[in-house]
Amino acid sequence: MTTHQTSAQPPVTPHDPAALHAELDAVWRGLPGWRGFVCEVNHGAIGLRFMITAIIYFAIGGVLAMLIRVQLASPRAAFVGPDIYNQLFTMHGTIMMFLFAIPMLEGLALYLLPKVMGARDMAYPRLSALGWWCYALGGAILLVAMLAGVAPDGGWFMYTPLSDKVHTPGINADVWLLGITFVEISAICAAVEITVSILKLRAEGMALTRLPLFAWYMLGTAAMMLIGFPPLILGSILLEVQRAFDWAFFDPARGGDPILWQHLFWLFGHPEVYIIFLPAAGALSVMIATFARQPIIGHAIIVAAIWAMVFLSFGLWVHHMFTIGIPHLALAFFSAASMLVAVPTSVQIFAWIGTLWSGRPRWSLPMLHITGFFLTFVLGGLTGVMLAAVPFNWQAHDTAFVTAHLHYVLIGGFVFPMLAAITYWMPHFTGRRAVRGLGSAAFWLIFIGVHGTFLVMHLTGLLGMPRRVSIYPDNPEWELLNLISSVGGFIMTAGFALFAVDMGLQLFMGRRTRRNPWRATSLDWAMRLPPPTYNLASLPRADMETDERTLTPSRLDMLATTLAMGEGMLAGAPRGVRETLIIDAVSGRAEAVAVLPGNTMRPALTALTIGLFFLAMLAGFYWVAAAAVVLVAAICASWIRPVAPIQDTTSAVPETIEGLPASPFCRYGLGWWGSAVLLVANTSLFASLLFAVAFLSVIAPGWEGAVQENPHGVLPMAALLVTAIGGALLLCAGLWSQRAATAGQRALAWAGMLAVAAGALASGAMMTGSPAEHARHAVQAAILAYLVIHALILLTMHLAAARGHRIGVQAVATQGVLAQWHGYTGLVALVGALALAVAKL
Amino acid sequence: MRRSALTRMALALLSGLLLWALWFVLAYALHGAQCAGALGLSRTAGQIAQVGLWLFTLGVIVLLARRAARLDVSPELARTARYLQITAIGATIFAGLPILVLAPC
Amino acid sequence: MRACLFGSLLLLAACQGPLSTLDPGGPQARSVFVFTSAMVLVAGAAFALVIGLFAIALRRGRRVTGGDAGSVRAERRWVVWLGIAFPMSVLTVLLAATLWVGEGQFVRNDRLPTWRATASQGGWQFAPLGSDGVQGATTDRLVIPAGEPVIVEIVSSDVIHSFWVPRLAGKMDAVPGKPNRHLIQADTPGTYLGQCAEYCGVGHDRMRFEVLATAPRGSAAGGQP
Repeated sequence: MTTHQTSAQPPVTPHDPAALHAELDAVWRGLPGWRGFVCEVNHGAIGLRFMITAIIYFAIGGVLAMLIRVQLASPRAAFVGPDIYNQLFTMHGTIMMFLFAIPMLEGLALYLLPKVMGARDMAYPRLSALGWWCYALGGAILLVAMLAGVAPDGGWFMYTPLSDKVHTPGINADVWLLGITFVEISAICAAVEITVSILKLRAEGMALTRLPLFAWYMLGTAAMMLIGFPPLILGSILLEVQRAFDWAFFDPARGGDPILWQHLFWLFGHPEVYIIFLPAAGALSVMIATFARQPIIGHAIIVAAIWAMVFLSFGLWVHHMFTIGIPHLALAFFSAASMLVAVPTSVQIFAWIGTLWSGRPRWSLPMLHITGFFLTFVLGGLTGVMLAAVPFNWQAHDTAFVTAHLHYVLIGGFVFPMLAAITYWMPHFTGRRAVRGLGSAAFWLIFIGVHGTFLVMHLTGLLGMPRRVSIYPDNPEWELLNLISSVGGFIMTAGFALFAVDMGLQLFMGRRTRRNPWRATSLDWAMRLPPPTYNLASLPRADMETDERTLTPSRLDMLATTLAMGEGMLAGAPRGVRETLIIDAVSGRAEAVAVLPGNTMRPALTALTIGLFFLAMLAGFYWVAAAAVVLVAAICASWIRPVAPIQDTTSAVPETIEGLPASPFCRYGLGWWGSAVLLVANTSLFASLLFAVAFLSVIAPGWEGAVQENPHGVLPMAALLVTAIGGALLLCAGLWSQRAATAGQRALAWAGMLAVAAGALASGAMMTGSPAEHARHAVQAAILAYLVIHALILLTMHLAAARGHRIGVQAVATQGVLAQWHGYTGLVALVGALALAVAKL
Repeated sequence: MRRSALTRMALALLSGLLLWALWFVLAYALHGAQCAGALGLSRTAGQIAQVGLWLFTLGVIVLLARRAARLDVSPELARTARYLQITAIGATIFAGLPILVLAPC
Repeated sequence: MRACLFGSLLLLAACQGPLSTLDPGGPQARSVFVFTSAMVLVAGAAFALVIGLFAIALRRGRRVTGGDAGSVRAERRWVVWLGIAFPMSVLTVLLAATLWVGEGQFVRNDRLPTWRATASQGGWQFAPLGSDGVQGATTDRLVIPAGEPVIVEIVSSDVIHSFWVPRLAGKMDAVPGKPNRHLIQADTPGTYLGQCAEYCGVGHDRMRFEVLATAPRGSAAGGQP
């Protein structure tokens, strides 16, 4: 299988699907054995891996829930003491929110998106794999800690000062902070990849107006992840630094404020639950359209509802903090916004009901779970609107009523849709049909169990039972209610176990399914089941009908045959590389051909070195951690390498493929897009840091009189000026971008980096007090550290790019990315220096 | 051009909600600063400032929405954009209603 | 008829309890209770509406006629009227009610008798605060005059706790470094149970306190034990 520099060799005859398959499979398949497991990067396999791991964590979290219910079934149970009980409920919440829900939706998105959009893979296969390894290792840290009896015990939202070093001296809190941050790297990777893939890797002619609805939902979700996760990442970093080095961010005695943690956490925490709900809603839209046998009504307004939820959900976070002592007007803002978000939600609910009403609904096991969704989520949404009302919230907050509400919306709004999605796509994952019988029984047990557990819990909360208590010996009025909840919990567990058995039966004993068993109209069903690693033997052309709203099942079958025969674009893999199409984000016009990396161990190794960093931090070996950072930088730099054909690695990828430029030769290729999207998340992190500074300087007690005369006179201002000048130089270097770096631009960039780093370090050395003395020094140091870290990131990128060019990476592909980071670092250096100067920090 | 089509479309769809988010942040920050005594405003002056900010934002959203309606986007996205701009106006009005009856702090 | 009476008596009995928000003993808790009951009724009706429509939608098997025009009509009916107009109207009423009930929960008169409640992982301590800010003797029970509104200044000496006497009022957190002033009032003399309502570590489930409301004659004004 040789490849040439210019146009392709004569393609395999288009009417020979078997030969096409052999050619594609040779390029796209994973390696055998354990090497294959470690080196896998293909979206289908990684997506399934995410979902299976998530389900395992769901089972673990479920067992923890059962232990909680055993303890609460009677008023003074001696089953576990309060110290273990505190670990139980903390781990239950942490596992369910971070190690089940997010990875589950990531897995479904990674598996489905390329198929639904007529592509062969996601934009960054190695990043997908890195995401899974970070998730697996981070989760393992938490599990090992749990088995060792040092699981986090501060509640899944880890409020300070309870979670600071004074009140939680053990490593429990560090396990949470470090382990969860490790897992969040996975979420950011997924968010970047999902965004770029949806915008750029669709079938030719699939304009944004014809984007499948599931992809719209995932685009909104990814946007929320990019903006919503960084506040928690920042908060976790600040708290871990306070615990490790005693910097005073959250200590009110030293100018910090424990409420800062709550703001940072809930700025993440509220969007988090919509991040969890939106993909489920996307899956529901797809399934309801299929079972109603007509497209979803109100398509345009549902897209509007998605973006309305994306934005509005960022204005609700304080409703988790209604009782901390905020004046009425501020509470009223958040109360009103929290009620508002019910509107886009109800738009979707009524659109779904309207679709069923005006269609020809037919019954199926997924529809049974969808019914469970309606009956559960709507109730949860209504109690949510009740909780948005401040006076009621003041009674119900932190009681079992909130526990009941959150389980209704999460089980109703995520678990039931996921059960429906699993049963719906199980023929896709496995290629086999369901085994009749157990599915409905499993559903009914789960349904009865969920309502049995949580319906009466509303009353339990209104009768005064708080959250997170392990015994209630003085309240006989709660006994029967808790017993009912515990019995319900066991029924639910039995139901989930039966569901797992049912899925196992389908996987191992189900009969082979025919194509498109549900008679759906979306592209994911236009392939063999289970699908080949490359999804489609050829990709849809602009003149082929790909819109799920106009396709019929029979035309979809014809399209599937056409594509399998190689009559679409990029048929086969004649150049020996993994290819998929890059299009213009809005019009869908073909722009370039993405050449994607194949099996590699790099993501696993990178995750291991990142894990080394986190473990060193956990153990308190801070110098080892610093060395690990250098190792991580080095291994990340090694990712920049040219993509070589899989069969014959001595030949190179051609510059054009089927008349389109190949992505390694593009200026605005996938690297440029991914970097831009990552910078959105970075901006959110910096904005959160600025918010922390503003919040502490205005609200935190103890800032008056903390300003001391600086003994260095005018030098600190001079250092800030140097930083600002460095920032301006970098901004110029970023704006003055060329196809290849000129000596002038390089000099500008290096001068800028040096100035920013030197100015920041000098400014830090001349602070009037240490970060452990007062929060003002801590936030000053935090901003300066952010700038120094970015200067170091730039340095690493330059070195990596230089090495990359030496081994064959095109300069045009790296210059755009460098320009972005020059510009960004320049901007934050200017803003940071300004903020420090103005606030006289 | 590639990027500008995406930027145009994003602005047409999201300018209203972006402004709503900006207003929300500014109103909350203004409120926090006033209640912490950092601004030296009386309760009434603070309420007037909030109402002023609110009405100004509404004006800007409406103006930009009308400009966005004239941008060249496909008819289906234009419909979505219209709904989103109306959402932004409605959200600003609704979330701002408390200012009319409550003074800061 | 008897079944109804029995049922409602049972319901009433089920709502009793020393920590029950459904058994109010003061004006703050009572207005919230009425408000809550109204919300439950409206929520119940909304739930019935949505589920009813869903059930009917599943039973219908006919395709809507009219092609494009039909779907625009359907879209307007479902999405605009039911999905937007209906919730917005209900929510506007709810917001108005929320603001109105909410106003009654806040301290608007700073010259009311004040007590300081200090929370710590070891329990609660209470002391009356004189108008000059001087703190009186510390007790482990909060003693207030019945029938009069009282301000509780809630502080914490270690982690975040929450002051909650469900039969009298909603809760207010005890945040270190941030004293919070909270309004409570007991209608009749008696003992009202309170508990910490913010997870504060190992002792959280036993962190309770009592509020003793004494008869108005010879009442304890702020500054006197």
